[in-house]
Amino acid sequence: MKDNKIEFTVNGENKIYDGDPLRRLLDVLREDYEMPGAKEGCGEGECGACSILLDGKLVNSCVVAMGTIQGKEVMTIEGLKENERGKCIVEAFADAGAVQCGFCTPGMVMASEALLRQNPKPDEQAIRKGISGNLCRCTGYDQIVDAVKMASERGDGLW
Amino acid sequence: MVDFYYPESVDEALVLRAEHHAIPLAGGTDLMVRYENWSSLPANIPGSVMSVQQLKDLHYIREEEGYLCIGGALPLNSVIEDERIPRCLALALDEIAAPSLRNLATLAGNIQNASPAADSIPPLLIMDAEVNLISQNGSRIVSIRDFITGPGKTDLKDNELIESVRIPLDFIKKEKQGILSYRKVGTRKANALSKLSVCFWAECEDGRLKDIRMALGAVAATVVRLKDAEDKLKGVSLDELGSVWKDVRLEFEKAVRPIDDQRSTAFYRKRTALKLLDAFIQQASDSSVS
Repeated sequence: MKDNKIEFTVNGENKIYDGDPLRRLLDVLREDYEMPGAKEGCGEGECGACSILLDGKLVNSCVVAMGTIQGKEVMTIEGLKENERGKCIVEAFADAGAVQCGFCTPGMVMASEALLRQNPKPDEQAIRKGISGNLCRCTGYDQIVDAVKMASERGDGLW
Repeated sequence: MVDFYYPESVDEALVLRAEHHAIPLAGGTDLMVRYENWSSLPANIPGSVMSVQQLKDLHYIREEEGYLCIGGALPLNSVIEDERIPRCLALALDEIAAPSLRNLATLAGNIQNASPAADSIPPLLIMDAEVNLISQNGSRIVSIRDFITGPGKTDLKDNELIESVRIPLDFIKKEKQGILSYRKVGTRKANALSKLSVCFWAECEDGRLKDIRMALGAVAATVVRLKDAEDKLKGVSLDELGSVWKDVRLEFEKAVRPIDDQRSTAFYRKRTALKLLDAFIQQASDSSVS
């Protein structure tokens, strides 16, 4: 119970954590595991730059306490970009011009994956809702919406 | 390092509440932000903390003795996806934050955080919802109205846990027969905290207003239900509703006492809340035509 080691997986790899249970998953990913894909924007769950999948669900890793992830599966952009679906989304983002400064991109790609898992053929409204927790200050979002649409079409059958 | 517990059963959690007054951490979307530390340092939550989201016994929605009960640790997205929940609550929860936070945040957490701008509370108030509070000494049921005592303050004792939120099935059954209006006014659609939020419901029958329920968020120290105004409007014929409302409006304007803060001004909040009320009364009056 108290002071227990926390066991979980990151991108399929087993991890054991025995540090402070109130450290944020975001910090542990970036500092302990050297996975800088998840970014810290606001640190308050409002910008989505730190988005990851926890047991397949999109969450903001900046509000996830390490003590709460016992037995869970974490997927970050480092894992997603290696699989077929991740590659499809990443390529669509590049081809649609959905990446400018790139800071929001890992979070946007995670949000896109979470959306496509739930709804492989989202319309524009569903896409905008799916990425509504992710801020982008460069693109104006239209290219990102195009990218998700493109990924959904090109990756037909992947989700 | 803070004392952090990971109870494996509700009973174990209640022991921790009684002996250590451990703060229940469900999604963490409020606590981890409120006690945010410098980047890369652990959150500064004072006292001991226990995780409760793993308690599967608190992940349920079921009917019990005339109530639809929503378990305290169920994330908002799971609540929204359940077809049995009333529409007013579904609309409100769907506007809380964004999908990623709704995968973590819970209804019990939104209530316990007791923000005057909490989006789930206006619908819960109009439905006369209750919370079931459990401790080692048993359980007690308190209406949402009595449970929230001030900004950030509730009647939760330091040995208690919110087991579930209870919604009367009577209301759910008749909700569709009435007129519903839920509006959240914020700077952007997702993630913005509300400038104000309103939830109104009315039932008309034989040209009269049979029932009306009105709650306003972020216009006072807690979310308010306009009971006195409702009582004055009940039974009024729809033809006269407009003129009766003019008098009632003057009286109850006093209940709308918003403040200026970083999100909005008192002036804007009051004016907008009253305009939304006017529009709803108009909508109810017009329903006699159809």
